[in-house]
Amino acid sequence: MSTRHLRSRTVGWGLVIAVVLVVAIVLVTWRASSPLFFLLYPILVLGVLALLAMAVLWAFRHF
Amino acid sequence: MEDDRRTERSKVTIRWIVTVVLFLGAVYLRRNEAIGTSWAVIFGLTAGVAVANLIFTAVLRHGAPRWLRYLTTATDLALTSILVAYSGGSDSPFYYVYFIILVSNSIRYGMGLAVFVALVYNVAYVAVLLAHPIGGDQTIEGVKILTFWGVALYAGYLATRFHRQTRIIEAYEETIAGLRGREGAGPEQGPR
Repeated sequence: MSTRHLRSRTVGWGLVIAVVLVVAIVLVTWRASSPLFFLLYPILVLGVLALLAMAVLWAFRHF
Repeated sequence: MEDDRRTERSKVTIRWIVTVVLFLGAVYLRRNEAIGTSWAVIFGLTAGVAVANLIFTAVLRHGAPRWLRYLTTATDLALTSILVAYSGGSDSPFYYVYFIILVSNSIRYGMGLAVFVALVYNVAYVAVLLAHPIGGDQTIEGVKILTFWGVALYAGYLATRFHRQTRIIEAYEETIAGLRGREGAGPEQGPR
């Protein structure tokens, strides 16, 4: 039997934050008034990826 | 280490070829007044790439330190950004060069370099947009940057998968060679 290092609540919050980050990506793309806003993309894109990876690995019982 | 050296040497060769092609393309477009890039910028950038390539060649004579891959990639992206900025900014016909750098590095080094290229491109392209403002709606530029991120992550994922499969095949080959070696040595004597 494998031990789960992450609680489902933590993963749930991670998914909520991922959705918020996706909404932020859409808003930045749609409403940006200056190219400087595009500097947020690395944080947003990598954040979404990291949180989704955490959820997928948790679902496959890696954590 | 030796793999890195071989990879960086092949990048030097490809850089010479791409430089010649880009130089000829820039000269042709400039002569037809399709781009407004000054001759000083065209010759200056070509000389810059040539000098950088010679320095990289000299460094590679003594080996390939790990930081070299990041330095060569960042230099390529910086020089490409200068070319893009001076040849029309977001409308530059040389924008596709970013994708050559991305694909060439992610196939060779995997996800780590793909993310690095996307990061540096993101910052450099924002600098290009600031130097060459388009004004009004920025959505198209945002979509272009996001598309680049998408291509980078997908290319990095495919390269990582390919590298893993290559390592598995190598492990199988080593196992088979080991088994053949033991078979050739004759039957082993067990404990009595």
